[in-house]
Amino acid sequence: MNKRTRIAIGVAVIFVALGYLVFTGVARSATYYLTVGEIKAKGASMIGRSVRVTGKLDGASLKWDPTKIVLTFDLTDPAAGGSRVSAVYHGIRPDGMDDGRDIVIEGKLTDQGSFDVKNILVKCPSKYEAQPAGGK
Amino acid sequence: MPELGSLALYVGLVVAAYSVVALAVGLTAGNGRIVGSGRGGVIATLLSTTLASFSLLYLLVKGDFSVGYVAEYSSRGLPWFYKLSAFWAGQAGSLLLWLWLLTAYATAVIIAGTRAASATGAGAIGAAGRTRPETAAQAVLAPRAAAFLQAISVFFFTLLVTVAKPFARLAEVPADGQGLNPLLENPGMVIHPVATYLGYVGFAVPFAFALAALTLGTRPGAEIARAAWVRLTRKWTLSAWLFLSIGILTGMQWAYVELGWGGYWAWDPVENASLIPWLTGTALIHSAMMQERKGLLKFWNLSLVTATFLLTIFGTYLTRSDVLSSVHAFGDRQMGLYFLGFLSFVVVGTVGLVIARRGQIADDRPIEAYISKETSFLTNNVLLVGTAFVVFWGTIFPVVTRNLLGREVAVGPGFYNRLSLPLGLAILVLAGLCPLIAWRRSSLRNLRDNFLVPFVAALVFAGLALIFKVRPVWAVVAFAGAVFVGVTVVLEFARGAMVRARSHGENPVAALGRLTTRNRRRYGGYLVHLSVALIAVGITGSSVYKVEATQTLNPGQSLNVGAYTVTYQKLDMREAPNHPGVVEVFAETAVSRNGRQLAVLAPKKQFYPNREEPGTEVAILGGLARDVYVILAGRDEGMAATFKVMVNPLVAWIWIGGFLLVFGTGFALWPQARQAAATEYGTLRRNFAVAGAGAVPAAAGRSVGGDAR
Repeated sequence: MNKRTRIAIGVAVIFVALGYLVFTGVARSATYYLTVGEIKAKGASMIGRSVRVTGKLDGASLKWDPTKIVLTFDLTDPAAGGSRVSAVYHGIRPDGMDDGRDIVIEGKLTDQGSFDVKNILVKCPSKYEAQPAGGK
Repeated sequence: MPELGSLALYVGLVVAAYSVVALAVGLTAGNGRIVGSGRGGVIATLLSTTLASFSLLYLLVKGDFSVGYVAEYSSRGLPWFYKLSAFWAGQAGSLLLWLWLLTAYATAVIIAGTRAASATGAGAIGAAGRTRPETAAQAVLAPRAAAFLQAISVFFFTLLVTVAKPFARLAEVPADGQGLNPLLENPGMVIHPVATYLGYVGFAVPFAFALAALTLGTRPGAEIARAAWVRLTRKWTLSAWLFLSIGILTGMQWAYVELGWGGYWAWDPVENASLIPWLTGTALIHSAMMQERKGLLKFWNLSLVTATFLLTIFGTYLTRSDVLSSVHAFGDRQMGLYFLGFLSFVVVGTVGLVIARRGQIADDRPIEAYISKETSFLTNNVLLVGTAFVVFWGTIFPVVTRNLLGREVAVGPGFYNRLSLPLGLAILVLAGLCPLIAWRRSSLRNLRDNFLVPFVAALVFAGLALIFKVRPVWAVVAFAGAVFVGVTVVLEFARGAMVRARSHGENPVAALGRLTTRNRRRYGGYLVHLSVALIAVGITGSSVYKVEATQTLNPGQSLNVGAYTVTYQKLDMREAPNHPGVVEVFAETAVSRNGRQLAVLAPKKQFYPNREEPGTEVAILGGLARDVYVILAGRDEGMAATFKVMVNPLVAWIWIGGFLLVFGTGFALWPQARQAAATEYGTLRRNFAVAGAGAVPAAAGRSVGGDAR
């Protein structure tokens, strides 16, 4: 076996190890990315699985409990007949949670039907280009 | 004015397309007059992009809200400084910025080519005895490279006149613009996009030179020119890398101070978009040295420079479209198709070219030994590219699953963290090892001489840390890795200075100065490696030992986080300084440790006249050991207010490392003193001799330790 082959084997070994890490990494941290309408449609099958859900914030539903540090709010999905998910977040309110803003929440659906939020991502309208009107 | 800008873009498109054709025809036919006309076209293209850019800037500052872009990103009350920065706040403007920079670079390239040509005489590349071969190669390659850069411009011009029109008018003129998002009103946001784009666009230049070298064919002197593309573009690549690094670091800093979540990196697709080409670019800087010095890895370098360029285009697309931002939103489809078309065209074109010219990119010689700089560079390249691939895969995973499985699956930060940890550690250790392993073949003795002390230092450090129960173990490994790199670099400076002091009879400080300024590439590189170690310390410390607490307090009450006590004193409001119309509510909070008050901070909420939601302004008590990061989360009944306080250890070392990285790269880029440059020139000539004749044995007598970089 010449040097070239051996070096190639070394490189291949690193890549295989990396491939393995990627594969298991994806398997462990993959989260479904759903709309409010979809998670509602899937119902009980989604309980306890880690998912990301996107929807529009219903500003009127937003409640803040300063003593327990709990933020609750509903996300709605106008495209799916206004179906909604109630979210519970143990943490402070991030900037930009205006009424009607697109919000992504990460976490799990509990068996009580509410969503236990680990993370809130507020879509920053200037970071990405806004959808042109009627573009969806 | 918008019509003028629009017209400039159309004219620019035509002129750029003309210059591509003129340069291609002129260079193929060897017709100097046609080439000259193409050269004029390159400069005229820059004039038109400059005109278009100034039109947009003028419209933004003047506040002509009949133009859609101006109405969306500027407003009457915005300070002029931020009106200018609104230029790159949106899609159309940032694409124009891309193009403006690209045409400026193309002009710089063509001027360098013209200078080189007049220094060489009428393209007499064979006359390497009289002119420097580098100059001759520049004269041959630069106009060709400019043609490729102009072809890239044509793509951006097309985008700007079809899908992303910066000068498009609105049907109804609003009374005022929407203004910049308050989050973007931060000095960091003025530097960050420009630096990132300077970096992104900069990688187009080495790519264009690589293509130029590949398309030279078999004309006289082609061999020498081909061997020179890596060397000719070293400064371009390194500057692009420097700007991209600055862009990433300022982006991190902005996220840390402005976004108010206490972190600096979230593995957001937009962040990843800048990291991926940075990783491949870092690999390129290293592997290019293998080609420059040893004629190795030619095919690999070509692939890397192409990949890096493609990734910058991909990154631009990612940050400036909607493709990844939301579930089931396909974003601006038309824009996506343009980018996809362009990327595919470049891939197919480059692969085709490589296949057609595969004979020209064979390596001059094989790698000689397992323990050598060559193999350590190879390993670092595999790791860097592997990391780039991991981040890339995670970033596009939702798009892949959306198209293949019909449903979107994302990977979270956990994926990136799990993978980047082992890869990052391995890269860190290599950053200590690589520079000191000799070219061609290294002996165990050489390894022991160079690495015994750093290795023992790292081991002792790790042992003590473990005895004192520092956990987790991987953090100890990371810190020990940083110690290893740090000691290696410091020792190398000290050793070099001592040797020189002894042999030249100089005092050690003067010796250190002369030594480093005469080996700028080498010592600049060491500094950058040291900066990587510092950044690794900062990242490890802040991600592992961060502590936080959230609590609602009444005035006079306090909360404890780690060793710190934060006492809420009072709530007050005022008009924000330098920002008329903005009201800020701030909470005076005292930070103390062991009963001793360290500072009074004022975290705030800012209320903007034309926005519903307030913005959060965090207050940070910075320090070398830790940052105390206080967020005013909101005001509740009466004077009660909710605070989130974090203690982020060692964050400062990320920024200190960042400054060192910039300094080190700048040091390496700075022109070498003449005497030393002459030595490098000697090396270059020897390499050309090797490249030309093919049979001359490798530069003799430079095997062990002598020439590390």
